[in-house]
Order: sequence, then structure tokens, then C-alpha cells
Amino acid sequence: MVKLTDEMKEALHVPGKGGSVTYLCTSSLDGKPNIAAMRYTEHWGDDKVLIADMFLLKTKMNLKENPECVIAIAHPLAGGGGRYWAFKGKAIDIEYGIDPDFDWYGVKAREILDEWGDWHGKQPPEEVPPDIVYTKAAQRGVVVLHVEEIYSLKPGEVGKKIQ
Amino acid sequence: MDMACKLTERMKSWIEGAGCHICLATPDGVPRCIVARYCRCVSDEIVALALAEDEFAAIEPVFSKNPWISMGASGLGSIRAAYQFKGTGRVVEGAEFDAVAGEATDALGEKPARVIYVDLKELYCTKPGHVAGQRLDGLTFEDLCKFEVDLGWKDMCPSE
Repeated sequence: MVKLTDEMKEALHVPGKGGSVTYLCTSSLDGKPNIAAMRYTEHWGDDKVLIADMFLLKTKMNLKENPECVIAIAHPLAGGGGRYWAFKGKAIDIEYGIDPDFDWYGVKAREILDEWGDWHGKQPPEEVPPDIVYTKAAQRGVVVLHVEEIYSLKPGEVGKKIQ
Repeated sequence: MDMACKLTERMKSWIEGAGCHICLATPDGVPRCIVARYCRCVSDEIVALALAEDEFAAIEPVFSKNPWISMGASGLGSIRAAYQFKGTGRVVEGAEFDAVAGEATDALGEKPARVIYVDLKELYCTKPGHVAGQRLDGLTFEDLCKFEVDLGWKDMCPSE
């Protein structure tokens, strides 16, 4: 059973709160991969990673047919020795309208949406440079990754299973 | 319509300057991600990835069964160059390997174990907002360059 370390949890915040940009990796059921960088990231408990569903298109389509997911961090300058992890598991997009009692590996939809359903309002993109900042978007849900395995992305030990 | 995927100078600058996170997937859709620290655009449609032994070993079981690779610029490129590049990869050897391996050795600190050429087939914008997910490889090259300018994207990758 996976348990996120304190160092990992520290990295799994928005960049303005000391976290790192994450990369959300999904795939269609027939193996076409998709990757996109994400700002709105948080951890939940010891084994879950959250990403805001604000602008997801292909990612959302992929998750609706295939829950397999990786969320990656590779930030050489952060956390002393750098942050190099790939969190692998199964993810779902908990969207508004879902049964509030829907359970995803031990967490209820209601809990997730109550706390992170207005992510932009809670953690506005203050650290994003003005020339690339975006207008407020309607949040449609929260992607919840249940982490089952963690791998290293550190040069020299890429692919090594950490947990 | 036969769409072509042609990189702009700005895209090349960010791919080469920042490296890329790359994602592959098994034929039944289990994704795998690594960082390609050294990337070089060997033409307008091909990106070379020079991978160390551990990096290639981490993707080889997947890559050998499914050549699709999806890529996004790393580091500052994640917010300043929000593109996604998709294509199919092939391991190159001989002169094609040598053409990339020299510079890559300096960048990686070791001679790369493999060089993969990614033949680009699809290009997307992943900038948050109304353009998120917009497919760009159907544009003419002139319209693609105009798209970047219209978004206010002018900066080339600084050395990171």
C-alpha cells in the first residue's frame, strides 16, 4: 500500500504554495497517450493526488474510457535534491452532478467537491505571470488519482520503483 | 486533408531548451512517463530524444509494443510553451544516432544509450483558457505562426 511521503506532499501543491507543476498522463483505451502540464494540484490523505478539471478535453475523454493514469513531477531545482516522481494508479473525474456518496477508493465525492470544487477562488493563479494568465474558468470537477505505485524519475534511477 | 505537423521556431526553442516530459502507453492504455532531458529538432517535423540507459529501459517494454509518444516542454516550458506534440517514435542508429549523440553526451553527462526520432503527427495547444485542447496541425504554417502571435507568445526559451 502506497503512502505519500512528507516531501511528496510538499510538492503536491500549486506552485504558488511551494508545489511543482505536474504532468497529467492518460491514454485512450487503444493506447494513444496524452500529456498536459497542470497547475492546480493537491494531495489528499496518504494515497491520492487531485487535479482540477477546468480545461481538460482529451484527458477527460481518456479517463471516461480508461482510468489508468500517471501524474509526474520532475523539478530539479526544488526540495534540495530535486523532485522526481511518477505517481501511477487509477483516476476518475469527479464531476458536479455525481452522487455525493460516490466512493473512489475510500474518499467520497462530496468531500472532494466541498473542499476543492472552487479551486480558482481558493488558490487563484497569483504566481502566474500577467502575460500568460488566463481568465477564470468554470470548474467542472476534480480528477482524483488513487496512487498504487510510485516510480523515480531521477536521472540515473529512472523507472526504479520507490513504493 | 493531409495535415502536416510543422514546428515553429519558438516551439523548437522550447523543446531544445527545456527538454520534454514524454508519455507512452501500452497497447491497452497504461501510460508511462519519463523526462527526455535532451531533445533536438532535427527537422521541422522530427524531434530527436537522446535517452540514457535507465531512461530507455523505463520505456522500452511499452515502446516496443506501441510507438506513439506524446510530449510537452519541461520546466518553464510547461507554462510558457503550452503545446502538446504527438507522433510515433523509432530508434535510430549509425549516422542519425551520431548526429545527436555528441551534443547529448555533454548535456546528459554520459553517452546516450538510444536516440529516438519522433515523427510528429499531431500538435495541440494546452494553454489554459479558451484555446486549451485546440488542435493546431490542421492550420497552415502561416496561420500557426499567427496563432502564436495572437496569443502573445513571443518569448523564446531562456537557458534553464
